[in-house]
Amino acid sequence: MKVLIIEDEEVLAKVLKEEFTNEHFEVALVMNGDEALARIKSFHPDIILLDLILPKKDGLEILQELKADTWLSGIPVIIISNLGDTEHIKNGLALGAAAYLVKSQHSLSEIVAIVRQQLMKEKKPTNF
Amino acid sequence: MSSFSGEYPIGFEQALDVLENSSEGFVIADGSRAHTILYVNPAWERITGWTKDEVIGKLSPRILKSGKQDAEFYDHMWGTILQGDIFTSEIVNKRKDGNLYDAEISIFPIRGTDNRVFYAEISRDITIKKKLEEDAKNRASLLKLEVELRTNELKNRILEDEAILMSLGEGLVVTDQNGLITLVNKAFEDLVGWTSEEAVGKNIFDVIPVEDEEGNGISTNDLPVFRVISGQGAPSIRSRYYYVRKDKTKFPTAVVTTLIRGGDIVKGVATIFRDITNELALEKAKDEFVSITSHQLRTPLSAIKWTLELFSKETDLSPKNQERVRDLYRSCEQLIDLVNTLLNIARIESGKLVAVKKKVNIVNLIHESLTLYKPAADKNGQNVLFTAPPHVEDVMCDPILFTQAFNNLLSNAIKYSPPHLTIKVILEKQEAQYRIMVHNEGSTIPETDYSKVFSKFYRSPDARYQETAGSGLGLFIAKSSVEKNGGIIGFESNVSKGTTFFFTIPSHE
Repeated sequence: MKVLIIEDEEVLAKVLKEEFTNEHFEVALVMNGDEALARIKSFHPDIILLDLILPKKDGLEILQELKADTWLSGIPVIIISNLGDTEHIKNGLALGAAAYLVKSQHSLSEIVAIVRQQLMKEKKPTNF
Repeated sequence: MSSFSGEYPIGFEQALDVLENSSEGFVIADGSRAHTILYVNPAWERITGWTKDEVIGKLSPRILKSGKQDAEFYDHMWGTILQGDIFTSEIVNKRKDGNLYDAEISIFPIRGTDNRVFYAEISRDITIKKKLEEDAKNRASLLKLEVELRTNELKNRILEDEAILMSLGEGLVVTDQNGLITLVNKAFEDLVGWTSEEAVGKNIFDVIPVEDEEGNGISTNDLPVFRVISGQGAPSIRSRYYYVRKDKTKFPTAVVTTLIRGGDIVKGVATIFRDITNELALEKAKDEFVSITSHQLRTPLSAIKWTLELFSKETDLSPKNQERVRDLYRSCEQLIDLVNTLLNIARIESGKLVAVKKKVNIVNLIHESLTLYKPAADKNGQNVLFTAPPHVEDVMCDPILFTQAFNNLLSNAIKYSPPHLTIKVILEKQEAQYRIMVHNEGSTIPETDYSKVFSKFYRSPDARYQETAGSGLGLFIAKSSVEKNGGIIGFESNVSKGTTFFFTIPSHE
């Protein structure tokens, strides 16, 4: 499974990559908002972890653009942010994020578990 | 000259008697140039001080002249008399002893039986009357002076009060019981844009339209001025609205509306308001600061937390290092907790704590918390018993706030009650609400602290004794959480029975 992590804090990005790699994911990292869309298109992730406060482009803006794109909108996005106020959570979920996680509230293992859970949901067969 | 028609009822002798006994002075003088006095009555003697023997046939009424009347007076007098009319006037006469006195006289000619002319004069000493008149005049002037003084005093006081009202930094508008503006001050003019002349006499609802933050007009019935007058609200209401100026721009206000009473009668309403644009901006800046700061703090904390997590997964760590990593991880968690708590409090204080309500099974929530805290209770050898009624309906509330409050009460009970004792959690159905109680034996809150229990940083002496660390913020946050969910929080503490903390949650919503 391919996970794209969009996170600008070096240590956090590094640690996330290590954990997901250890858990047998293929991981790509993007550390600023500008590169996000391009990388998504070239990497084809199965799931995206999206930070909100990013240089060059706001996380919610990226989310909006993703959901506006007919092809990209199908990729589940989990917001990982340290902004925990109701307003941001509501906005994020309203724009189509699958979940909103406050980084400091979850261990790495938990985040991996939540990602796996989300992918299981996506895997449910659809009738054509 | 006589106006009496018909027969006289009395004879001459009796008429003379009347004259003799009259209290008014009477003198008859002859019509010659000398005007010799022919008759005076006793009253005349009394008034003038002359006896009849001294004057009859010897002197004329001129002896009474005081010199106070001018020539014009006498001209007028004789002119009247010679025409045959009665001359009546006030006059100043002189008594025999030289003292002057005020008199009222009437002089008229009489024709005698042989057509001789006589002059009769009736006189009245009006000294006393004049004195009374003078006194009355003096009193009137004194009174007038006093009234003037008082009026000036009042005027000055009114001017002073007006000056104070005008100088108030806050806008003031006074309306009568019908909502018509009777007074505004300068601050009003500056803030709202209408001058006093333009505003007074108009309906306040027309002069200052009121809106909420979204720009919706507030209906008249909801406006504080109306509510205060109609007695629906308290006699004094505080509110926040947007006022629309004369030029159609808006500004946020904090308003205090108070009923004015004169005894039992409603006289009108006084509204004081101030522009809180700066205050709102400050609040916003503070909120943003707290938000950004907590985000900034959380970032390195997350880095530490996750790095330690990876660290702990390393298999080649010595037991000692493993322990160290665990200690570090725990400290980090404590810091994260503290940041969360501070952020929460800032949100509560700025009124930003919002309940996101949904249908919730509170029994499940309680079970989740009990599971979460079981390890901690087991460590203390404490048994947590949960009783609930068989059928509990779902409740509309914010589950996060519910759990926050319940967890705080539960963790307090576990932390602060002595080991090996039972902790009871009871869910009770009441008429319009559910009551959740957490009871523990063995710890109490002193009565003197009762009012402080839910305030920030309060920790009971028992709690402090058992564990020195602890922010004292938990109950403060629990209270806000409970209240945001529409309930109340409280406790009962008793040395023999222990302490029960409880909170309620409304069941119909």
